[in-house]
Amino acid sequence: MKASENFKLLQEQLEGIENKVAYSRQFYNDSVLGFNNTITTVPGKYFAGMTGKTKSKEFFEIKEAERKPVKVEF
Amino acid sequence: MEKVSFHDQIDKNKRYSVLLGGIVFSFLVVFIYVISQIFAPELSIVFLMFGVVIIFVYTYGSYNYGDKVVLAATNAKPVKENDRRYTHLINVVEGLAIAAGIPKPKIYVIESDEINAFATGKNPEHASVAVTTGLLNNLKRDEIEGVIGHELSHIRNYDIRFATLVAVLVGLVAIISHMFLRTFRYGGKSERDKGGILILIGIILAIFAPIVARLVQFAVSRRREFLADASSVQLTRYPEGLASALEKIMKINMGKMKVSEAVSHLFFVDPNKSALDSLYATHPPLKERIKILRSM
Repeated sequence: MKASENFKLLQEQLEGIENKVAYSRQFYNDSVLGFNNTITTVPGKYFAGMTGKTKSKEFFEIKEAERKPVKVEF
Repeated sequence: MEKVSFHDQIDKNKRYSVLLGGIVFSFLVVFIYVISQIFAPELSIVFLMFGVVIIFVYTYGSYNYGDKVVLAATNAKPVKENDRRYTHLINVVEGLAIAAGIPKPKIYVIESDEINAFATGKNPEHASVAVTTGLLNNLKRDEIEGVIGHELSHIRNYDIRFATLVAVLVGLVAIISHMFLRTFRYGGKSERDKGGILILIGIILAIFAPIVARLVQFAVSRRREFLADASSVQLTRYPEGLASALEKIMKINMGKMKVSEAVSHLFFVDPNKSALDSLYATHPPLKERIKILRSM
């Protein structure tokens, strides 16, 4: 009983961590998208030109294999 | 596009919060002046000075401790970090806080069979989110994520600052107006002969202030709900989660949560259903919210 409860908790924590990694990636990419949009559209374009921040940032991308849920073995 | 619109919303909320504080502050000063003129014209300066100090402290207090008042008024209990019953809730909140780019808010639970949730606080650094036990028992993970995403959007957009101020200050205006009307009704005859026009002003203020305050409460919250729904989908990337949560709420909720009217606009869905639903509702109809989510 105790063991299965612990296992459930472990599963929950794994799912939580996976989600957090995915959300961090999403937040980063959302920020990049916002930045790129700002420096390529009016009026942000002109300000970007003035401050020299004209280079668009790259999205954080991962391979398909890394997207899969992690396997846990005992 | 999205970025710009929610930054605009943040600025607007900050502006409105200052405006609301200012309006309530000056209303109360005028009110105290009128009262003192009626009951003790010779002491009105003293009255006014005391009044201004007290009101200033109260307004400042609502800004800093409004969230505590709201949490106490709704019987919300804090969740401990290592409480295993709530591990999934804690994980969902932490994950979505990362997605929204805000610090993790404090988590509270309310004992109730209804499915509901709310967020409060003065800024994302001092924010709390509360959910009912009914929500935890009835909703699946992706549905909970939709609801929490909605609440975290309120936090990120500073809706919570304005809504919490409305809850606390609107309550105060209602209480003071009520007190004034009662004092007048049971006041002695001799006082009634004085003042004249001032008494009339006092009565008009006392009658209209609570109505205006309620109207502010209704007007501010409906549009924000749609915006928060949309922002929630931006965080979870899964409109169906929130839509099916709303559907379950339509089926399960009886609209019988015992919370004060002053805080009802803070909630995820209207906690009290009334006969005057569409006119007085602080929230847009659920059907409309679901329809919009399904068309995303």
